Amino acid sequence: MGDTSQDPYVNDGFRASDHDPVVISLNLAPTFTDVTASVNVVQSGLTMNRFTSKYSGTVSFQNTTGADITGPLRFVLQGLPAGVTLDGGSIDENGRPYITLRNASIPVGATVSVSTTFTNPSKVSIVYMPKLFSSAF
Amino acid sequence: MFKLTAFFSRALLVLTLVVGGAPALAGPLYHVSVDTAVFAGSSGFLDLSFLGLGTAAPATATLSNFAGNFGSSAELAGDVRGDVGSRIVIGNRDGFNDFLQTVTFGGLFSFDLRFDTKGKGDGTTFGLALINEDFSGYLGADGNIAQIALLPAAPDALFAVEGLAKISEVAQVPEPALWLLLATGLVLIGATRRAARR
Repeated sequence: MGDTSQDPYVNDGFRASDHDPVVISLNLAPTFTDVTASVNVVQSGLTMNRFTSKYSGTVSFQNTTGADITGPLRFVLQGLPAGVTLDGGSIDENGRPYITLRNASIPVGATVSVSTTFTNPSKVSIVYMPKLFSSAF
Repeated sequence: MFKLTAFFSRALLVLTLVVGGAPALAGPLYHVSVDTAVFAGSSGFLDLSFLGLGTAAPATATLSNFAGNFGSSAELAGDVRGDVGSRIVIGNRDGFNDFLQTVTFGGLFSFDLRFDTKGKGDGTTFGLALINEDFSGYLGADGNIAQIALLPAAPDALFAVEGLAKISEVAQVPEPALWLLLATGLVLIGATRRAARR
């Protein structure tokens, strides 16, 4: 328990115990688990604005399992080509762009959709691996 | 006993059904019309696009029977070929598949549109937009004024700006080649049955 020869007890107004204080730290960072296999991912075609070079589409996730998928949920776009950036997204701990889904969870059989917008000035073909991650404490 | 003629006859029948059945799997025929009366007195561009992710199911959009006051020049980008004088075929292979046609606004523009999708994959969206004369912005909407979204295992999603664009589904008239295929299939079915009875 990290006992030392130094006695931390001080006999003053803040004394609480005559034992060594025990400090417990909890790492409460959420861990995200890949739940892509639990959903049917449907990705729409794209529209493109010539004057902003923005491509837009939608992605929907249908829960195909017999249990609710609990959130928070992250839609991770793995392997976006160079020169293509996801607008309004964040970057996860592995450097991949992602969007946090507004829905807290996906009930059995339900579908959740999210809009995507990409900046793609070179007009390259947009390819990535869609992944859905669920956080669990 | 293995009958070679019956085998080949059946194989030919299967081939005919497969080849003949493919056009039947193609999507419906759409008629797209755009009324540009509100922009009369100006010219600009008709912008036709067919875009999907790199993981989209391979698809083509075939546009034909064009009508309208088209200009003489067009700009083709990506997986596209043809012209408004005959037909335009746009694929979804590249990142930007687009046909840009000069037009004089004021009248009605229209064409027929058919999609063919092969295999599995993500969706593709056909879009029609109008662009102003100095190529600085869209007309009628901030982007497409008519749109057809092809989605896997779902009906096509149609969108058109009311009063400006219209998309209607038209009954398809079978082409002579389809009638010929059907007749060949029926003859082969009859021949197979006759051969089986002997």
